[in-house]
Amino acid sequence: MIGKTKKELGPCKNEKGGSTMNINTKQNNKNNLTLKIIAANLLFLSVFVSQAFGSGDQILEKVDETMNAPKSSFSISQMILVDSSGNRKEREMMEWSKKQGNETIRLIKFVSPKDVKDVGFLTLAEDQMYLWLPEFGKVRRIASSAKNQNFMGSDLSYDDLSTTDRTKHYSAKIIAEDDKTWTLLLTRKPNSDKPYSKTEMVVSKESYVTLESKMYDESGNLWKTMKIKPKKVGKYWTIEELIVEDKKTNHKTIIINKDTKFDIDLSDEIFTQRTLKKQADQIK
Amino acid sequence: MPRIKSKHIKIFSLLAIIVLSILLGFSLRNLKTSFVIDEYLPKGDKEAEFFKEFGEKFGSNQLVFILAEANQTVFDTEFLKTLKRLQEEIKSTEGIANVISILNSIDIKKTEDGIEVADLIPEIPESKEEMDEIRSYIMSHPRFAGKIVSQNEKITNMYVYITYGQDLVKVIGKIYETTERYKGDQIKSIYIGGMPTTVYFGNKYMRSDFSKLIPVSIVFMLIILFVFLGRVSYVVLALFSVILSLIWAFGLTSLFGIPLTISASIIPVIIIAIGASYGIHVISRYIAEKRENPTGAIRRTLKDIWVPVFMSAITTIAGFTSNVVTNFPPISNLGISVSFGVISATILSLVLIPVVISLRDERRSENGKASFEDKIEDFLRKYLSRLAGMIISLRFIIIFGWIGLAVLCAIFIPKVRTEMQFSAFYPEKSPPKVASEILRDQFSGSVPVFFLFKGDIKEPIVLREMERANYYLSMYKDMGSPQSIADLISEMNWKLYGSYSIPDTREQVANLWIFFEGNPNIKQIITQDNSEAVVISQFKKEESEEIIEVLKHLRKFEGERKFVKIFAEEIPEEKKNELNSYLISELEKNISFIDQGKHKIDFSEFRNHYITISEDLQENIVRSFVSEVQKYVESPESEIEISNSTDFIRHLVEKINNHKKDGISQNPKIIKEAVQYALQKSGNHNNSNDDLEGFISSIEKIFEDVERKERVEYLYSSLKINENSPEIAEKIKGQISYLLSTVFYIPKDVAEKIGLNGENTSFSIRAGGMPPLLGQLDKEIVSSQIESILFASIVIYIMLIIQLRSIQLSSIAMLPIILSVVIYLGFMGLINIPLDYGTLMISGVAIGTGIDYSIHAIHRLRKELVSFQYMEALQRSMISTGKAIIANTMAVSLAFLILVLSDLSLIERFGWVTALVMSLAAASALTIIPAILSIIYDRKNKKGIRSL
Repeated sequence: MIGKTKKELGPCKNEKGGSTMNINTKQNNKNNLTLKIIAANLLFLSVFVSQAFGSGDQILEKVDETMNAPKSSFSISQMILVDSSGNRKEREMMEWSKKQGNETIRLIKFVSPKDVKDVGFLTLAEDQMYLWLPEFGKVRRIASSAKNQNFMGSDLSYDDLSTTDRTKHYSAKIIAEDDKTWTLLLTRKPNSDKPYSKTEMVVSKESYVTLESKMYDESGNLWKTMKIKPKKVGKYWTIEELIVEDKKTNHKTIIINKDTKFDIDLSDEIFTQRTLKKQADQIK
Repeated sequence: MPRIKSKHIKIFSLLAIIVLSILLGFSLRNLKTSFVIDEYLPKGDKEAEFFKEFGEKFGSNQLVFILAEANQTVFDTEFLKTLKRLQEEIKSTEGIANVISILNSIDIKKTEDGIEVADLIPEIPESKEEMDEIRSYIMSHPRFAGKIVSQNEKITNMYVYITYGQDLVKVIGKIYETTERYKGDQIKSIYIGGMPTTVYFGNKYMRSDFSKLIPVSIVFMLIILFVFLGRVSYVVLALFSVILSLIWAFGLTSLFGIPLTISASIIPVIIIAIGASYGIHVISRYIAEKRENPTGAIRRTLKDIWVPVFMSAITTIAGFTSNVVTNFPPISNLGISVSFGVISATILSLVLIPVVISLRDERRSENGKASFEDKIEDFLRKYLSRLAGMIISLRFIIIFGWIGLAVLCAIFIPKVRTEMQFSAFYPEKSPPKVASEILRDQFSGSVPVFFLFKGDIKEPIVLREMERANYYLSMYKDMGSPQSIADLISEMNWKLYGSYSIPDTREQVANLWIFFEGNPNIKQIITQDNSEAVVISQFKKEESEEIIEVLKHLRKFEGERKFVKIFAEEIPEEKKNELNSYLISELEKNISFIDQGKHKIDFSEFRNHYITISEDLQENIVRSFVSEVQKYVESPESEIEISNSTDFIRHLVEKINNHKKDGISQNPKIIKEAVQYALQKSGNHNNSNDDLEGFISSIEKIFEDVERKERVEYLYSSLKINENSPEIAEKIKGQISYLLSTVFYIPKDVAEKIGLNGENTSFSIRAGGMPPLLGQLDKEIVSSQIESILFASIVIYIMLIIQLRSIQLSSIAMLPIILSVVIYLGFMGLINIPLDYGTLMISGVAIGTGIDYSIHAIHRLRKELVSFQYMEALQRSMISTGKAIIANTMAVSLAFLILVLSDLSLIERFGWVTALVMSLAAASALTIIPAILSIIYDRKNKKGIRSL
């Protein structure tokens, strides 16, 4: 926004100077001087601002960093699925995650309802996911290259869950700003295979947490909206409540975070097929 | 108070007509159309409501197929790239919810240790080898071959889901525009099919018909008006009256919220013909009166003409309202619109024409120039006089000839078939027709047929019955392969756990269900609350007769189902034989559904192997079990890390072999003992209780699975089915596996008969889709035909009695139209013309307009008989009325013949058949009425009565 204002100033100054030159040269010189001062101030201000808050890409990087800051985490959350007719389905799940190099490994176990109790997902890499269906007694590997597939009937795709490094896939620029937030426009980079062609996100200046997102499909039509209520747990910001709405299906997913612990000691043994088979309360 | 002058009244009338016309003209903007087949059944019809409800719940009314044809093959890099661009553009069109094609169909592949979920063609291959690989995969997959790629590999089918509540005509119009731009080097042709297209094409053809038929009818009427009226001003006046009649008719139709249906193109042509005919009557009479005496000519004209015009209008309205009483929307709506037109034409010809003439023309004198009518009179006079003579001399031949012809034709009436499918009415080679043909010939068809299941869909028995419904449907010839959630669950079970079957328990089903929840494509087969699901298929034949035939097959499967869940371990020994017999007989039935009765299977060997486990089977089970355990203990999912797996396996085998003779299946504790023994012996004994418990339970599960799998294979081989299709073989094995379950689902009545009790499950199955809908329409069309004929006949008969004051004469007057209707219905049966939304109306129209001929013929003859002997009276009435009837028939028939220019075959058929029936009615009125009356006259004459 600041950058844009700075750019607009140049032609404005020239135009104004040109039109008043023949009328009063003294006055004109005075005007020119004023404009020069304003321009210099703005230039200084913009440099200051970009140093303080960074460009769109830098903000995005900081957002990702904020979300990926904890080395490990454990959370209990409730997932509510609301269909287009307003019918609700509720699920409770536990999630263990741990940073391993650039990847985040993750174990998700469903606690309720009875239908899905003990169903587990273990993600060791983007294309290495294991599924445990307790009623069948065998671990199965699921390789999914269909990134748009939704996770467990929710409106979050597997890709939404796995993307942690958005600066790699999107270039961001600030399109609006107020006292408390920046609005970024994320445009997909040419070689990226991410499902959203662009995303508009409102980022909190205080927490660097995304408060709202609008995701667009290949053709630039609004596909999903996301609203986030952040909360601070210890030194980290996390999501207290997340509402995702698929605008094409009118289906909604609400995720309520009931408990979160950060930087806890999680052994590698948790992220194994053996643990995947265990009931949630047996996982230590 | 000033006296209201007659001129003021005239101007006021004229202004009132103009204002009314403007107001009704404005209401034309809100004219509604209806091209959705379920709206063609009366309000409250259960099948129509069911069809509509289904369409809304499962979105089938919103599904459009885009068929893109390649020059050579769809497996071409450039073609697929173009298709991708088309898909993206269609997807970005406003009102489109989703697009699924060969590129992004979800493919679930079985891998060694699980599954791979991916887009069918994630990246368009550049090399021939890669493309060939994709081609052979797709064409060998039953979910893709014949579903998204045609059997000849030249056409792909893109599934486009329209967002609910959109203006279908607008959205499909946009799809059309987009697809047109993509036709070129890569995409040879594109066709659009599916339910919503009927709305689009219905509108399109109706507009095209209107823009073609209305001008042609008007030009034709101008010629007729010129012939009969001679002067340009009269022609313009009559034409103006006709155009206003059209505006009034459609304006009133719109005002009353009556939608135009597929046969609406008939309306303007009929109104133009009737309006012109009334105009001719009034103006010709005025010309004649004016020739005699210009003073008061208009008053005399009105006095003389209003009764015949009014009577004619009443009978015509009666003919058309006979369709209104049928409560069959496509026909009753048309009846109402035409009736509005007739009323408008009557009012305008009796008010507008006389008012304008009197305001403008009264002072002018008629130049006395003979019209063309006069010129042909001499010609007709000669031949009609001869005809009168012939009728009297051949009267018995005429009477029996007509009756004989009618009786002969009546034989063929039962052969009349019905046709209600919109696609049957579209022109040959028209886009919707070609799309239907492609869907029929290269894909699985386009006529929806389904079973709706209501109950707890996650219950295994409900899913198994859905699976059976799947197989049952596919047994029917020309039925495309059905689709259901049961099919997906079985396929997922097969790909993940190796059995093409519905799992035994609800919990297992729920586990697999998570793969499908939230998937937008599932909306087409199951409701969001999982309480209703469908087994849906497409039928390839488009003809109503064939579709209705399917209904008989569907009805045999539908109904309420009550099942009892029984655990194998709770079944008393003495009841097992009876239960086994039932289970095997069911299996026999289900296999015949799956293989469509192809194989003659001997179940005797199967029965023996089902009851006992032979030694060689036992060997197989142990061998496979050991191999699976070895794989397991070496995998990362093993609860216990076995330090020396070979040693562990050796001890396990040793222990199991010791117990083999006792039968392992009969003694499940053996596995636990063997595992503990092997762990101990191989030095893997330091395990936590949780791990040990988990490990034993995993090995026990492996045994259960292996044993069942081996038994299924063994039983399958005992059936000696030589099946080439691996998928059918897997499906049969899946059915066999149900017999080896730990849970059985038995129909309640069977369970009660055997004496078994258990948990009850009930659900219902209802057949739906086009067959029940067309079945209902068929009933409706036949009953409407009967009702409309009866209604029109009764009303007109009563009117005749009132007018002619003679039951005998009224009955004779009815005879020509009854004969005409019988002859034409028989003729339809004979030359295979269907009873459809158009031909259904002909009886009413024929009775309503044809009766005028009888009335005129009798009325005139009666009048002439006052002064002349029968022969002379007949000659005189032939010359006057006969000539008028012939002229009118020619004009009306030719007007109806204009309808052959329509794009829709039902309008075309209506046109020429009505022209034929009108000619028949005129011919019979001119021959059989004088023939019968001459006999009556002779009899009365003998008694000295010289009248009828």
